[in-house]
Amino acid sequence: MQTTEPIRLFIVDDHELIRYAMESWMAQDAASSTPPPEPAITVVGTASSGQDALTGIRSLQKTYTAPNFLLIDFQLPDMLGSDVIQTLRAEGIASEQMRALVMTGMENAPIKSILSSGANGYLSKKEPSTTFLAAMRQVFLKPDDLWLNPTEAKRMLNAERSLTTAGITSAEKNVLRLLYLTNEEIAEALNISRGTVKNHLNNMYSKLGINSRPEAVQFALKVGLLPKHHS
Amino acid sequence: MSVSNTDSSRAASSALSERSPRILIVDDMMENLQALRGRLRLKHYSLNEATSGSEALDYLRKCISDNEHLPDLILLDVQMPEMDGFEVCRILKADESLREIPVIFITARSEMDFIVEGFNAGAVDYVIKPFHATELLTRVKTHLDLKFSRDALRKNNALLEKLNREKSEFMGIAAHDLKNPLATVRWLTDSLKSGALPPEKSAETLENITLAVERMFRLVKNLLDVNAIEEAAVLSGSDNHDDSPLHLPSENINLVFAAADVLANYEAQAAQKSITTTFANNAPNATIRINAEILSQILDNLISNALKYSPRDTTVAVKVSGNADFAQVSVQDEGVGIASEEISRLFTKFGTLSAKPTGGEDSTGLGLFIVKKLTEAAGGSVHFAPADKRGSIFRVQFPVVKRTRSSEDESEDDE
Repeated sequence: MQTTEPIRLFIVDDHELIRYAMESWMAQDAASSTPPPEPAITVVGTASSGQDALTGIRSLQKTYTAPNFLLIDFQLPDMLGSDVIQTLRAEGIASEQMRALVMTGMENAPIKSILSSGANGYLSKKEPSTTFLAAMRQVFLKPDDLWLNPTEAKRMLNAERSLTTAGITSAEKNVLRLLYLTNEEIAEALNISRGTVKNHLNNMYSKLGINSRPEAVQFALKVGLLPKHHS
Repeated sequence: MSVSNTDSSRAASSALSERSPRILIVDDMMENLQALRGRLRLKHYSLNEATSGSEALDYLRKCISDNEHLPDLILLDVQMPEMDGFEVCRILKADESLREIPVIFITARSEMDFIVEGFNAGAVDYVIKPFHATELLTRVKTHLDLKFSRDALRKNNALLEKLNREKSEFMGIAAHDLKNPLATVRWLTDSLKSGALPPEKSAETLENITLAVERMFRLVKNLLDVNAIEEAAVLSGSDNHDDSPLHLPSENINLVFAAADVLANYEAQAAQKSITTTFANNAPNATIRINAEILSQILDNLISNALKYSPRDTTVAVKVSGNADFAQVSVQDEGVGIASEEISRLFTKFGTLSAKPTGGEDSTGLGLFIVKKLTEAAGGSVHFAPADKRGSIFRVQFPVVKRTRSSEDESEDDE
């Protein structure tokens, strides 16, 4: 898929070291090959608190460097990263304009509240830079596919591709990724009805030749769509 | 008079080393048979008895015709009416199918001439009656051990000869098929070295060298695969489907995902030839038990073949289907298909057919052979059918992992 639009990244974290480290990853990535990997990533702004993030992002709207990707820490000094995303979404900055990934330092990320705030997924800060870059590119190119911190990014990306070939839709994949939760929780996290969740599951079962949830969980674990240890 | 079988308590199993040794006792006197029987039974040997030479020979010939195990040792009385022991022994040694059975004479006479005649007739040892129990049993055991050693040696030699033949064939094919691409690489590198090539040709030449090298890698891999499969088949000789013959572990795998996975890998290649690929599933149960690598190889072979033999702007359709017992993947192409006279050679080793790959790709003739061997080793089967209008359909089918009752309950909501 050809895309000439680069990723214009806004980073929010109260630790300066983290912001600095990420900026240098992006620079390194840009220099890593000729031509540079696509889509290219440039950092257009940083902030160390939720309020500064909101101010910064708002002021960049309508300029050439309006951010189209937000990488934001979950635990900020003045509010939660997911709250920032929720506010921005409420102000009309939808996923199509700006993807958002939450970075978490904690073991048990509250997936549901992160997703229902309008984020495109979350990443553990322990992940290596390659995972961050892969996650960002994947979410940027296919915003309908949530990134839910898989055990191995590469395997998940391959699994994604194979599922697409097998005819599984993005919506169905998202449900598959949340199989550890109950149907009710999945509905809440994805902002769809329980009935829709069941439909997606049933369609997916028949496309894959499986017919029960335990089978589906086993399958999703095996191909790397579900992290091995969950909250 | 028929031969009586006084089998011991231990049941004979089919493994050579595990079954009870069988002994045939031949003596016209009942008391002698009884005495021998009594002694030999202590060692749990499996016994058969005959009261004359002709009865013994009839029994042995019947074993052969009924495909029963022959005795491992014969205890033969010398003094018998009609046919004496020496004569029986000579007849046994003259018969190719009976000559391997060691014969121990039972004689009342200890004269040297007698003993020598016995050895000349082909016996391996003798015991003098009345016999000493321990002596008898020791001699019997010694000769049984010797016989089993000989049997094992013979079996091993046959196995080694077979493996050796396979390897020679393998070497022959490898050498032959590698010569072409190697010659190509040599010629191309010579051209580069000579400096006679214009600079714009260099990149092309290097690319061709890479292609030739890749071809050789693939060939070597195919040959090694075939060699491993055949070696394992020769050595194991069993129908054990639990682990593949290459002793790789099996796991539960979703066939739909596996097929989609392989197909996704070939998307770029298909696009290059403007080939459309389609995928569909309607199997109710697509979970099979197989080694992941092996399944990958099977599907890879089928799909890459379909693409290889498809002309530009055609469709390759991959379909998964099945029922409660089986799941299958079918790969259909719109190529020229297989001529009816070539169908029998389809899955044989090196059976390259008249159809040629449509993109100039190479064909080692091993692909389908590997598919068949690997599939069958996993308990599956492979089928070919011509497509309706044009092209071929290749199908691999596997038994599914049955669902237990509990896994079929789809609990209403909360998990």
